[in-house]
Amino acid sequence: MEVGVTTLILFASLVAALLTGLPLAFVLGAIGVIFTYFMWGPFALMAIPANTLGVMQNFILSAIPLFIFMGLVLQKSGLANALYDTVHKWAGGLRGGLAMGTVVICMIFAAMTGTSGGATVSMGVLALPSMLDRGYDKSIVMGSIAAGGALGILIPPSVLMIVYALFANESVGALFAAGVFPGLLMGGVFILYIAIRCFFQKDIGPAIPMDERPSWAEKFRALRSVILPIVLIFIVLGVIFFGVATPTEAAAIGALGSIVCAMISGSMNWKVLKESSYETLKLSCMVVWIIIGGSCFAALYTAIGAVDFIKEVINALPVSKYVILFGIQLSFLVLGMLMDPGAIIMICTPVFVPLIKSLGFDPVWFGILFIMNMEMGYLTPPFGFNLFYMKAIVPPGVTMGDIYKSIIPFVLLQALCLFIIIIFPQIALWLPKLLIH
Amino acid sequence: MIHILKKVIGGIDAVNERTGKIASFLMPLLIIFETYEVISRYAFSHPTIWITELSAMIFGAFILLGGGYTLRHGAHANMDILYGLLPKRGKALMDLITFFLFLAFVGVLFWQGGQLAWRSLAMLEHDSTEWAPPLYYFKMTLPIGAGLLLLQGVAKFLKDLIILVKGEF
Repeated sequence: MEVGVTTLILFASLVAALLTGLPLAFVLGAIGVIFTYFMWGPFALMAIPANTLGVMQNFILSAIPLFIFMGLVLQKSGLANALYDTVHKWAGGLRGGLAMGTVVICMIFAAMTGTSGGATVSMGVLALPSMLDRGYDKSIVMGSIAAGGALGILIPPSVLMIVYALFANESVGALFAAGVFPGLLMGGVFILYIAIRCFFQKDIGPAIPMDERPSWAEKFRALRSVILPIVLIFIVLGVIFFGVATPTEAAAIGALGSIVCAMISGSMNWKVLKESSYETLKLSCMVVWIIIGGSCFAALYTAIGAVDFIKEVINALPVSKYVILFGIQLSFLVLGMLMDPGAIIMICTPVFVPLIKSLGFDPVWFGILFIMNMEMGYLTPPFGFNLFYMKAIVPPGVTMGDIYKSIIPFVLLQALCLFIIIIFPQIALWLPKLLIH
Repeated sequence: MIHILKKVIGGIDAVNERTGKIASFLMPLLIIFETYEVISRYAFSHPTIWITELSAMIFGAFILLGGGYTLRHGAHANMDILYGLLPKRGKALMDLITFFLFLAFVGVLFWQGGQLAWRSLAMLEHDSTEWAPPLYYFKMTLPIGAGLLLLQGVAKFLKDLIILVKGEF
């Protein structure tokens, strides 16, 4: 069969199978198995378990459960409360301060966890009711929490970056380093937007009245409970960036450190440890089983020549390479509306990275663009994780329509940041270049 | 009949619940070994020859043995853009059909993974590294994990069958 036709059938059956609601891991694996069987016969199936064991022995993947565990323990040990309390005391006096502070907390959370859901859920539970009580406009409240929560995948550590690094054959450390400044940029842009809007529209983010503001002594006392976890974050990232230890080892240090932090704050007990462990198993299995299925699928379409085929077709287009890059970003945006970001990275990385390299683009930079684009995926309907989290948290009167409206300005800001990084790749790339040389 | 089916389902659930909870404690082990490696490299300037390999094996067992537990808790991510619109019975019917896709993948992992592990065991295969640990224990976690996942899939199939017939479980 001609490779173009096979490629088309392969991706069409992938889409059809995904729509049935079968978990992604099994969809990817099943398509891998079925196509392998019909194209090369039963003997070729031998390659599948060997492939799986190969994935399992990839050292870098063991960082995934460790980072997940670290984030969960810090979250369960009451850090979210402490952070919110601190921000409340320090920023409450500013107009829009609580919303800006929430973005800051989300950024700190993003640097503690590798995934995107945690910050949205815990800020939704803590910050949302408190801001609404203070008379904040619900649109700015929901938007800042949903958008801030999505920063989790861009600010290192990031599970999705590990997945990208694995399939693109790039260094995890370089990707982590490249995510730092785009992450700060995006958080900064959100904060600036909130500040400007609240400055001009007095009633959407009222400042806490003078007589309710805490004294400086209280402000500094609040800092005490958040200082340790923040030190831990700097240790973990520093250890990776300066090449002291591998990402996996750094993740283990972080996991151990999170237990120590929880012990010092007095919130460590058997229940926290047990629940975090069970939760870690579930979340890690979800991610890594998708990788198992995904590598089965990726091996298949590499073997049939689909990667080369797509590369040739796109390279033959009579357009500039920036038009191609733009087209790719647009397709990610559409996929992000429909699919889980993790699965998109798994499916698209082996297809697009060879193409990107042949166009002369930097694969680390492309990875950052990819991840930034996936952040929009968390916010864009119909399938945006953070929208569903938000719906589960908001008071009964708030409709899905209100939530959609609240995220529009933030999605536009995300697109703006993506555009900035496309024009100025140095923002992402200077840190990894500095650290590697 | 349904009574017996429910007993079977309950049994499978219990097996995976137990296995998952035990497997989840492989992770603290991973923390300890990896941290020890860093310490022994810097404090004793003496990196170990065995921790990287052992950690990969622990990680592999953790993930492979946890697959069934994760399915039992419905934590494998899926795309519910259309599926989410179906009524309860419709979902059950869809799951019954897609079970055969699940079976194709996990069945091959179980069957071919079993043969791989069996060949490894028959020749008492060791890794070709300096530490040279036996590989067959690790390779056996694949068919065992796939088997547990397969069992949980069967339990889910039976649950869906009951939902389809009776409208509820």
